[in-house]
Amino acid sequence: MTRYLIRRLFMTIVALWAIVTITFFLMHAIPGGPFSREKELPAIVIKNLERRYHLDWPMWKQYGYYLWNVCKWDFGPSFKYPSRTVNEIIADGFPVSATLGAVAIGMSLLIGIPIGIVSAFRQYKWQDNITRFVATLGVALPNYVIAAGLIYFVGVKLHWLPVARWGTWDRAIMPAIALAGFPAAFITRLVRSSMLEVLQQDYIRTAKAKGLPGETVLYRHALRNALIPVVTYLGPLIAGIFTGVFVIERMFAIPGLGDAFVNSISNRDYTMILGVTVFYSALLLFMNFLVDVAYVFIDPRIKFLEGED
Amino acid sequence: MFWKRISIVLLLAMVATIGAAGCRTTAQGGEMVIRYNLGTEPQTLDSALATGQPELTLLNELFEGLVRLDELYQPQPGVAKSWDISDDGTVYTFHLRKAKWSNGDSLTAKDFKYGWLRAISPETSADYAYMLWYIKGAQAYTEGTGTADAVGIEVVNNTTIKITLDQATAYFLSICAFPTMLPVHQATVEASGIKYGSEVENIVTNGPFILTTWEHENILELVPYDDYWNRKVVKLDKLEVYCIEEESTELAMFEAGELDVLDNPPIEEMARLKEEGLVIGGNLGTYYYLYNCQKAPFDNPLVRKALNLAINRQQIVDNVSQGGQIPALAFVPPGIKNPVNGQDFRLEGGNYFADNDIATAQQLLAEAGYPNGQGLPKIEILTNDREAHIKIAQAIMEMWKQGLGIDNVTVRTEEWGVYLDSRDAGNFQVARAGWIADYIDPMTFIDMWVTGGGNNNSFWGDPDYDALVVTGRTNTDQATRFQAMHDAEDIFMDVMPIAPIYFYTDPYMYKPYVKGVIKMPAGPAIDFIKAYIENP
Repeated sequence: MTRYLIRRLFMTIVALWAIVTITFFLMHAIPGGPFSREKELPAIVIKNLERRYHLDWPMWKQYGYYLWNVCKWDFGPSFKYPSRTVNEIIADGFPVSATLGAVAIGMSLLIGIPIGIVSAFRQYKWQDNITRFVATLGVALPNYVIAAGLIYFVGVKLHWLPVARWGTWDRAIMPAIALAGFPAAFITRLVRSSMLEVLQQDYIRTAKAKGLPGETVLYRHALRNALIPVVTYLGPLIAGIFTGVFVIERMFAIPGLGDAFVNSISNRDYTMILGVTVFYSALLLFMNFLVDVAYVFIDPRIKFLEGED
Repeated sequence: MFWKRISIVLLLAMVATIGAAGCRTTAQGGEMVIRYNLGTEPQTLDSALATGQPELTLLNELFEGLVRLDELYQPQPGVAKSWDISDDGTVYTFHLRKAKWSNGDSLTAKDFKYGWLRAISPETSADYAYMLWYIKGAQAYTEGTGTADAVGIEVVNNTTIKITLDQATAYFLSICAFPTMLPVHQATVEASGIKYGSEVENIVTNGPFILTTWEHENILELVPYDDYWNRKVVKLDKLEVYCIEEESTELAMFEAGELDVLDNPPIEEMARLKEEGLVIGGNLGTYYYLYNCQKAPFDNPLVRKALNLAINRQQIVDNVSQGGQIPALAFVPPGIKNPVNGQDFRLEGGNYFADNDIATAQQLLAEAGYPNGQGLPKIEILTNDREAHIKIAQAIMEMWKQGLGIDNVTVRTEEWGVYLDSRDAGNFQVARAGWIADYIDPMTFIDMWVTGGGNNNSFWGDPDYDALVVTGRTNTDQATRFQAMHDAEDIFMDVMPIAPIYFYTDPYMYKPYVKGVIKMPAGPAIDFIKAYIENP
């Protein structure tokens, strides 16, 4: 198992390095720099700025300097916000995005799993039909459409919730719902089909034949096995939340990292783009790694390739 | 059984949500608070480095320079209670009142000198260093060819500061209101280093408001500064400034009662909002199309004029941009008064051509050698990728086709940074552009087009024009310089290196209980110093 872990870690580092390198060179290849302005800057000012941010060094030197700083987990100053460093901006924005993401994931699990189970138990009855219909909607509607609808009806028309911004817990509800729409729907369908499959299994029949009450059958035997695909889905789910958050944060004026990241690209804020890319990539790779490891513990059928015994 | 359990949990969650939401109120509980959306996170509150409109607005509330701009955008005494100008117009002596910084320190002339030198120093590399280049020796200092001591700023004593200009500059007092010329608290800068201006702890101010909270990308809270010399005019208890970027979200918040001022209405909603009380305010700016006068056929003024005259600006303003903009038939927008006779510069100068003058346009095009648009090479309009600009470009494409028979026009859309690059490099034929005044004087528009000027992206030049610009900038007699600027605009509009499309407007709306807000057509744009709430 340790061999497996080490190998995974190594691959993760290689992947990260590749991401940093590709992003670095892609970024510098785009025309327009961080100092392009509508009112053109005097040449001397541009020269001074380039000197300060080492943009006048040869490309390989800039790359090496940057790589060295990344190893020290120092992403440098932001070009757009001259008094703040990228590390600070990430430290400010990430907890917000993470909270929102966590609430959204929690919501989608809390809604998706129970309803998926109900749907499986009442297959083809009206509960199932309604669920499948709503789930299709959830998968088809983009999250910003859900968001716009919520803002308009729940916020402006009904005044049930504050329209935007962040801080109090009631401001997290609408954005989380918008983000959770797709995952909840997906998880519902996933759990439903997985549960249906599990319920066909012999061991379930055995359990029922033994006379175990329905609930015990469900909680002790069926549920755990039915949820395995959900664990698999957690990886892509987290990735999806990361990217879905960009639009939602902007629409709800939430001061998270997603919005800052999108802006950094049009600002050509090189250090910010690189820093957030590295950060998100590292996070994602780590999450996927965790899911893989968790998988082994959840499903005894899965073994490490080396055939541990 | 658990089906019941699930529904109970969901029901409880819903009730709790609605219950908590019901406790939300829009009233402020006795305190006079105005909630305003800045539109973005402020880049910095370092007055030397700030470049954008939102930063200007905040800096104007938190700081005060020698002068302060009033409702008519005229410079009024700020920290300087009076000033003397030498006869030749090159030496300004400001007499300062006794003032304090927000941490209790005295504010003296030294703080102004420190702030100005810092703004133009080569280390700071400030975008707007050039605003101070009117001062003797300033440009040399920024470019590294001169020293700080050679710059014409002299601290005579704690309450007197003397500035020597390179040449007389009639609008220098307006420049003194610019944020780059704000005083700066030296000890704070030295203690915070690079972090100056980025957090509440790293900034010390002297204006009508002080900053009590700054949560990045979220909110800034300003309260009145009790030792501000004009404290009695400030009526608000608090100004809450948000950083919402999405226009539709700002509108939703305004309509839900969570914002008191609507400053950035989305275009799609203009028509509806106009009926609900949207005000179309003045905004000193011109939206125009740039010709690359080095590339045929745009090196021929007849072609440029023909293309200009074939544009139906009224139609664009009514159907495409819909912001109540004013069709531009000249370059300098209305809103600048000639101090000699009180007349508006634009009204005095008049219009240079008629909108949608197809007949003359066709005639000019034929004279240029392209009757009915035949023989013209492909034309490409460059624009950045905002919806509004693309629509306008497409409308103009149609107009050129219908009116002049030119059917090989295309539109090239580029992302903002790429577009700026293309424009600066001359990699375009026709490009969309906009220019907003830096200060209220026609010169901010006129001096763009000097031969080889940094902002002259049309690659056009004319020595007679350049000479008139010099007169406009340096002559101390207002009548002479305004005449020179009119003459310059005459030359410019005779050969039309650009096609003016419309003059910007500033649509905004207040809640009915918001009063006393000052709106300006340029600079800080909005000022809450005298704002208050009445009968919410």
